[in-house]
Amino acid sequence: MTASDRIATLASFFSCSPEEAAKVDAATRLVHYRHKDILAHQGDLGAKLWIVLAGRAQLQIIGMDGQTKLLASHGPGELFGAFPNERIVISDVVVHNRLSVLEIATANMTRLLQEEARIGNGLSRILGRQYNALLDRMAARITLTANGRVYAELLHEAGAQGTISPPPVIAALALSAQTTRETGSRAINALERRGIIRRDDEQLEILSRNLLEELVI
Amino acid sequence: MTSLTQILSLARAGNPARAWALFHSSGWDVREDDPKALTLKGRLLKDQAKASEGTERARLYGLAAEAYAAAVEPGRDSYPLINAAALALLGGKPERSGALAKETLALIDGDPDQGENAYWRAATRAEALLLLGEEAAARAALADGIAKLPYAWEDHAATLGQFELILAEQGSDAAWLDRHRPPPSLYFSGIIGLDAADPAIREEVDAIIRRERPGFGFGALAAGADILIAEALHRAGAELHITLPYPVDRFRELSVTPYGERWGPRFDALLEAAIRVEVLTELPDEAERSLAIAVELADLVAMGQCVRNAGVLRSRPKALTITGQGDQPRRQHQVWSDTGHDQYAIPVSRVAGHHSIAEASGTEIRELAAIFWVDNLDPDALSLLPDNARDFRPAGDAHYRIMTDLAELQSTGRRLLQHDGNSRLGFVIDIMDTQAPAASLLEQAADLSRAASGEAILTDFKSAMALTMQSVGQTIEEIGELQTASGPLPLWSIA
Repeated sequence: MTASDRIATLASFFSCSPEEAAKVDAATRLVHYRHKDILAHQGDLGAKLWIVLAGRAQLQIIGMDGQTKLLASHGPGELFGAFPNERIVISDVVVHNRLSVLEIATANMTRLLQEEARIGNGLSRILGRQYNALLDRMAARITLTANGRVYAELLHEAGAQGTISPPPVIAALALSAQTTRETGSRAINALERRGIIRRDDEQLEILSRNLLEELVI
Repeated sequence: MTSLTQILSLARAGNPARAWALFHSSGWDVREDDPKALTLKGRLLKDQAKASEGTERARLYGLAAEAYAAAVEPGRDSYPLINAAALALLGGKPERSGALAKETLALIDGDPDQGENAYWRAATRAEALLLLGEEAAARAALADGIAKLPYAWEDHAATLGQFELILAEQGSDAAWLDRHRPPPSLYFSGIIGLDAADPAIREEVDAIIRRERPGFGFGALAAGADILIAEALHRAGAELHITLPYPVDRFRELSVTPYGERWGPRFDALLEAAIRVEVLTELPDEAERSLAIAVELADLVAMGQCVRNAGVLRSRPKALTITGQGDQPRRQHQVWSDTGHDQYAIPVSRVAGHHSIAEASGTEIRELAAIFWVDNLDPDALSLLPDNARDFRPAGDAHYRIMTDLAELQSTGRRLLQHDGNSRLGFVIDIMDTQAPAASLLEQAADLSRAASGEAILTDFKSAMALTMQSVGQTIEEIGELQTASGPLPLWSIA
């Protein structure tokens, strides 16, 4: 991912300007982890936040009986870690398959939020979305497929006029839909292949809103 | 009130009765001024017609035709109009069909914006011409539409399905449609221990791919046969859909680089080129799976994806494997053979020292099985099951049963749903100790059943694909996603 893609992605993720996103980018570090790498141990003092770009991190608790229990997991478009203050980590944070994250010290994030209100606004939206996902989990509610979320996001961004100009950065669109860049890219390519959208350097245009709406499942 | 989108989802998931009931109970059936409601009404009646026979089928097709016809706003939208025309023919009203087809042609000719896009505009014209008995012109119009959007395979497949119905009703030969079918899907596999420098192997793989022209390849990327075939598919322009039995880096160190460092960059390049990569792995409370059983599951998932993709695109699934001379077929390859789909085998000499992975399973006690989970099991329902299928184990308010015969899943589910259409059923197919399955696997099965709302059984992606290889006459569709402790689980409905 290039620096400009990263900034576009962060701007979309935090619903902020490219300038504000550049400040987040400067305060974060892109890190890649392998399967079963451990980001934090249960009982450690947690002092970092992670923004997942690709892959998945699992929160695993070792119970009194020594058994491993999966508490939750975080994937693309989600933020987790110590927030708003440093705190004791309640579970091991273990990588599943591969993980790419933007890593930021909790203290640095807190400072950024004090300086840039819009980043705080974006953060509240991200945490709100994660809270809703948690409620969905508790209620066993069936939600849209990953492709369906990408298409819903595309319709939302295109609005009534049916165009997005300049065309969206796919990685950013995918993160907004809480899925991987690969899934976002596959979903958008399928639309282009089927003549449902048209893309060039200037804009993305929806050619058939009906067909696109039918794919939001 | 249930939305039209939710009702359409149910219909797509193979629940026509439930979709129709919700359409009624939500009051959509009386919304005769709402084109979207009327279009869906036509679709739901068409689904019911397809599931019926004889005069009832014709009656339902006729009702579907009138629902579509009523959805046509004056001077607008050729989509419901052409559907009304086709369904009128299937409903035994050829004159009405002809009149509606003429109206469709006039609409298209008079309005350059008709049709959702270039393909659908041409395909709609082709369908109207076909309904009017002008088959040569219909063939030309369809070819023109496909040339405009040659990779809109899903749309081509939808047209082919509709044309098959029309041609059957007209008593005409449908063989000409075959030249417009999307490319076949190919499941690929084979041994690691082959002589990769042998040009004859590559030539034989290339010859099969040239002849069969697959557009999609499904398999893993181990050193040897997998990579050779995947490279040939990639050179030929086919999409690669990769399923790995382990996390990427672990698979690379187990099945790629031990056979020569040269395989590593080839694996990386193919992984990068793949349009989709699925990774199967153990859950946190499980030990790593042994190779043979992990590969068996990954093979079944890849085969299921291949068969499903071909089904969705109305083309054909095929298999290509490079085997060691004299090797017994792997168990999963027998599953493919049993389906009767085409398969090609290239027998080659094994390189000295390389053995079949089936010989290396060691002390693995886990096996491929399903956990079938039922919330609030009615004890009376058990009487509907064979004696040997009643050993459900209690788990809180729910019950579950471990099945090693995957075919049994369908019959058990069908019987329980017959007894109580509101039963909440879910299952996962995975690798497990059948005497003591991992707690996280049981939890997944329980999560799936909690999300079920009757008339269908819910499962995850890998289980749905594995079951596809065993399934006959069932609708297996993705319906959404479920949040679980291990992340969002793609949710599939079996009806």
